[in-house]
Amino acid sequence: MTAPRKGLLALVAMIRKEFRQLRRNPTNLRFMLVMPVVQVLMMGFAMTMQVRHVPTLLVDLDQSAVSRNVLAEFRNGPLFDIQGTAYSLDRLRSEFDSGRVALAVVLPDHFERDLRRHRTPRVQLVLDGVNGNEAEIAAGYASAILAAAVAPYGHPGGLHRVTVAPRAAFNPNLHSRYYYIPGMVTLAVMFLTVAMAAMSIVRERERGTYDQLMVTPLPRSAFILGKLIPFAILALVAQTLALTMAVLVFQIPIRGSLWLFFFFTLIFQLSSLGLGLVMSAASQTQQQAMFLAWFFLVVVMMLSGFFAPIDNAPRIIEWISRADPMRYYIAASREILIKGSGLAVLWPEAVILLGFGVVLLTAGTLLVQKRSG
Amino acid sequence: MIQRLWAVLRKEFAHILRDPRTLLVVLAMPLAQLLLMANAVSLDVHSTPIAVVDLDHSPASRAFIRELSSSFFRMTEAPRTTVHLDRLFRGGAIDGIVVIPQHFERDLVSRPAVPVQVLVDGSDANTATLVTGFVNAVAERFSLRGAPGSGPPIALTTRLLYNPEGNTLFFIVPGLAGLILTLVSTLLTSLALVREKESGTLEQILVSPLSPLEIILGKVGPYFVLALADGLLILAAAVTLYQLPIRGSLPLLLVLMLPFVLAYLALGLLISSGVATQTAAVLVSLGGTMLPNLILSNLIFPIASMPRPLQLASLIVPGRYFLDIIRGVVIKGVGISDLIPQTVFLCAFSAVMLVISIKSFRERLG
Repeated sequence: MTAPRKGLLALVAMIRKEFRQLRRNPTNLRFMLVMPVVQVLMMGFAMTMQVRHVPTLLVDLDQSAVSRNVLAEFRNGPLFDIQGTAYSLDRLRSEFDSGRVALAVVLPDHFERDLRRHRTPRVQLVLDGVNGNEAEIAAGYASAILAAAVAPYGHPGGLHRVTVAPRAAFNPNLHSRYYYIPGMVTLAVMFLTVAMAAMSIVRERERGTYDQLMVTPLPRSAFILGKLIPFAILALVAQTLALTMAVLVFQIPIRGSLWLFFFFTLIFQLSSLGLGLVMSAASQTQQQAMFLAWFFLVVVMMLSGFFAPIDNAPRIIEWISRADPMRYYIAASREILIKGSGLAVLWPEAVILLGFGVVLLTAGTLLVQKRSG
Repeated sequence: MIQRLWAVLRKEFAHILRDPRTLLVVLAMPLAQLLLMANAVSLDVHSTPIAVVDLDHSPASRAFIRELSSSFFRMTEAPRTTVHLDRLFRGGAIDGIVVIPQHFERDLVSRPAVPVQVLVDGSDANTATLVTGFVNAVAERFSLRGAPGSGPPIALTTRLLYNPEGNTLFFIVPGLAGLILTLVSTLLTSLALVREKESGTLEQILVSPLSPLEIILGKVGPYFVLALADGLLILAAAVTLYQLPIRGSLPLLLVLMLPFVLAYLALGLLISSGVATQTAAVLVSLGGTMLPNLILSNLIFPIASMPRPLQLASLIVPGRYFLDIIRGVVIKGVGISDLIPQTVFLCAFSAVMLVISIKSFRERLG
């Protein structure tokens, strides 16, 4: 038999051994396949910044017909959950301290009288500022309700309202899942290829089976590839499952080419598997490998623009993020799945990912070989 | 009993100290994570670039633009052509475009409502939601100021308690501290026990005269100390790096941290008695703690806006209660009297977890 043929056979044998090992531990396997699906489901439903159901206290110091009518407007719709009406300011602070309310609308004494005489009563919105963004948005909603409710009492033709007509390109209903789900299905690949591949190599070392494999005629490269390929396949399967779920449950539009998307997954896997190799070379125990992998996963995830667009981050963080392969992968996934972009737009990302892949995979292979050599 | 427990504790501490790399990782990585996360998850609208297209060029439209820029946004120069504008927008150089219509000033006087158009990039729905929400807030503020000549019917003042500047770090940093602490606690114990199981040394300990309880306490004890040290480090970093004010009582926070950390150590213990390999331990720990604590804890996304089943699920996520506590003590400066439900839950949860995990440990190995 020729040498390359022998190498190929060894590789196939190694991959089969790995798959058998994976199969023998069905809990792990199930977890690896189910977790991405659960993540997509939970995140698709949960990750929204929309402000709804703000726990609200109505404070009516006037107790007039008009003040009651104005406050009653807050009871309509899903924006405010009215916790009650207070007639003094005594317990206001403690309601905020305990977190029972996040917004208080305070109508002053003589509200009705001042309103009718055009004396401009001072209305106050008090908000829990711990989450500043939510507070500002809730204040906007509350002012809109107030402005509409007091409009009839203004000067004839007095109140001129500026209203906002929002229009969202690519995603008219502002579903945040359009942003998160492409990231989510890429995260599954990242996790399985980096953490699981790293741990699986270190495990052989920890148990002493690594040395056994090294004295067999198996070439080093076949050992490494045989370790990596099953996880790459597994990650693809997990990703397909998660994506199917996203399409079925959330009607995520796949506007671009699915083949192109999987092509990006493949070239991204070069980098992530390389990273896994580097980590496995750097650790002696699975615990170490785990903490390393966990750390890098979180860093890579945070810098990739998974949660929030990285362009909004401070300049230095934005610079560091350019060394994060996932950044390009997530960007490409969003472009392909949501905007329907093609390779004509995304070729720079593809080139960068290939570059990262070659460098990381080579570095990882050399390091692992050096360690075992 | 105490003597034997002490022996296990010493052994476990020796294990940890003999592995300085892991120790370093456990202590240094949470800090690095806090640094990166707090900066990368930028929810700050003050730096969000938006462009304004003013088709009216009137004093009123300029006043509106002033209101916008003085409030929240970083204004970029208005592009000259629509093609250019479109390119900037698609390329992500700007997150929103506000278009002030022609005859804005005239219509303000003659019509009851004048629409201002906001165009946002919906593929990033969260930034889009924030931008429209904030422009809406500005528009309402502007409206209530009233047009010249006719006073507004009411004067509206808005007050943000606890955080008048609306600093988003006040919100995100305490949350991240809680999240990181969760992960460290669970991973530490789940891996420590499974490692002994995998290498077969657990059987050796089990045949020694030690009782299961002594083994568990001895195993968990050192990691309890380590996790608390992590908690302190993270807090110290938050205070020095992000000028987080600790307005409430620091000792109170530390005391309330105990049941929280204990709950997750016990969870780690439970995981470790249920799984056979370290890989499985990691999978279950990350799936069982990271995800719920990331999503169902008010860390970034408001629980109140979620569908009801998720809201109900969030009721048993300890992270949710701990974030109430840490934000309450650190930012609001409240005392224990405002945190009783949260404290009771955490204590009960950690007690139940500890009992279940000790029981399952005994059953499986005793």
